[in-house]
Amino acid sequence: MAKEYLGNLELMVLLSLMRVGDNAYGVPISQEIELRTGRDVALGSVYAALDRLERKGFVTSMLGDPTPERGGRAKRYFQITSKGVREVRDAQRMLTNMWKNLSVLQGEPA
Amino acid sequence: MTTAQPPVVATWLLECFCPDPGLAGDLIEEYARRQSVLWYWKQAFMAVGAYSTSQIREHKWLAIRAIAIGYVIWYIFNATLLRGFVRPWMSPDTTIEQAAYLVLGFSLWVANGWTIAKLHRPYSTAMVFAYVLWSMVASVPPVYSLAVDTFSGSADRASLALEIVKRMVTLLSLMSGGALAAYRDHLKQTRIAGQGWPRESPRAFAAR
Repeated sequence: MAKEYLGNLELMVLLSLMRVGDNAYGVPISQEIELRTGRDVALGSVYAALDRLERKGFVTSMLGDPTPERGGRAKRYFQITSKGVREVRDAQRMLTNMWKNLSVLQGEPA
Repeated sequence: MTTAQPPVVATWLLECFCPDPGLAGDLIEEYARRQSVLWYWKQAFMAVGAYSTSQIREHKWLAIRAIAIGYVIWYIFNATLLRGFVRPWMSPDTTIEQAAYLVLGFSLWVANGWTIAKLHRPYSTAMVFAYVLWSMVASVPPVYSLAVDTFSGSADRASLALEIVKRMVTLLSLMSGGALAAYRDHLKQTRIAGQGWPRESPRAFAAR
């Protein structure tokens, strides 16, 4: 089977999932992305990315207890798997290699 | 524009098209902080679009199957039975007969959406969305041709307007059928929630 690479949003979601740690669900994940990148990401897009990541085996999810302030809806908690951590490391290595020795980014003439 | 409770219709749409209890709960939680009806509607529409598009991309063959099934149902019921047998038999001349014929036609579209949804669980609404997208694309040539005729003067503007309205109602009927089927499934899932749904992910629950 061909290796599946992470998309930009998927990588951001995984990184913010690692930052939030325990009790990571849709709201803190999207807030973390907004705080770190300044991008206002729709919750629906975050969930669609999390759904794809769960299908690829990079995250697992579990439903908590329903709460009245959420209209009786449960929170869906997400956790990164060891496969997901490996994938983030691979992405980091690849991107670092791409960035290395780029004179344009170091302020030198191209 | 603010109210204490988020818009009920937006929440209903969200739960029909994105069968994930976490997403609706998160939006309700965020709505309490932001207090913006416009923000909530925007998020609901974006969630429906993102969720459906993601499902279609993940399940391309299922989407093709949904389009094929929708086309077969349209061909048998709308194109053959309705236009070939019911129309000549009814010969709708009066306004009431014409209205009855239109209602029957749109009911068949609702049934079409319902059937596609029922045959493609747990990705029902996304697959109905795929057929709706295909129908929109298929509508372009006839509407374009009628628009050209209208602007060249060989057809009147009322015919063009009627054609566009009919096609829009057709798409709404399809989506209503899909939403009704998804809502029924959602109610069923809520009923059996005590059997494990609150502790499992929707994916694990659907696989049971």
